[in-house]
Amino acid sequence: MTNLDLESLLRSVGARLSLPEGPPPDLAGKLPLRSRSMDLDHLHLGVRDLDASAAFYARWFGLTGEVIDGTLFARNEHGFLLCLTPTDNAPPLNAHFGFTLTDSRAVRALHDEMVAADVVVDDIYEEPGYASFRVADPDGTFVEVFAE
Amino acid sequence: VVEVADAELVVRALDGDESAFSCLVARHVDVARRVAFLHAPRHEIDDVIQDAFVRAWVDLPRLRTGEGFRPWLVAIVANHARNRRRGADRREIWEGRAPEWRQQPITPDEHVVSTEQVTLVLAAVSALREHERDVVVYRYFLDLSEAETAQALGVAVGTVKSRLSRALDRLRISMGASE
Repeated sequence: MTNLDLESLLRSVGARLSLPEGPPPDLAGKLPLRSRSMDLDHLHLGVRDLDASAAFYARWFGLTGEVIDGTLFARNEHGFLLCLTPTDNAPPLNAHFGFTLTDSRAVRALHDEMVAADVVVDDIYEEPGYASFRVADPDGTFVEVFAE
Repeated sequence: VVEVADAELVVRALDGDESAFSCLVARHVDVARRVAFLHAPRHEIDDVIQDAFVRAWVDLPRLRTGEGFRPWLVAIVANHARNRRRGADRREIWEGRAPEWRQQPITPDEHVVSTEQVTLVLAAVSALREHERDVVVYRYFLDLSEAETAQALGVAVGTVKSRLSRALDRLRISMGASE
């Protein structure tokens, strides 16, 4: 038997591999979230003196921006966003930080998973091209998950 | 319709796009099932495939640029299947497969292979040393290229060529002796 005949025979036998029937794998809910798609995006803090805090973060951490509706939106050169809102109390009650996901679908999926897992979440907020919700960590600190 | 290349789907999956990964699953589930079928007990096949695809998702950042997804997946499925084999002897798995091989061709251009030939080939292949049997199985039963076989087994292409050459020599001798 030549190599060609033998290879042909092997391929023919391989083509006869009778596969057992079975459903395709159902991976829904089984794929862990990819950490690299979930980067820390912003931090929102309440401050007693907005001017003093803005100067402090600009001088020492390179976070600069503008005030919109009373809140300073300051970014550094890497795109990290620090939001500062004047409050009467410090530490503030509205402190939170946010994770950004790839798209609204991913936000909805995580929201559904957290609801199913009995982790407290508020309603998801959506508009075209944007989705977000907040969850309280075990100490009550808000974590925002969003995509835009 | 332009088919999106595996490499593009991998990039999207790396960015967290589960639908891109689902495309990869749909595209390669058949070869995954074949690998599991060849290496694992039958009742473990569905679990092997599912675990392997979840592992592939988790380990995707380790797939190096330029490496093919398919042979990389084959290696993962084979590892999971071997882990599921536990104490079962590989020969038993192979011999238990014989009744499950189709005896009749599905397409008209397939060569007609007799039951005796299938039995003869399976016996000869199963008797090969494992590292030679793997190259025969991957090249002819899974239809991987030499380069893909090399990647799936983690060896050089030259090693695949030399193992294949020796394996074909052994098969020719053992099958000739049986005729």
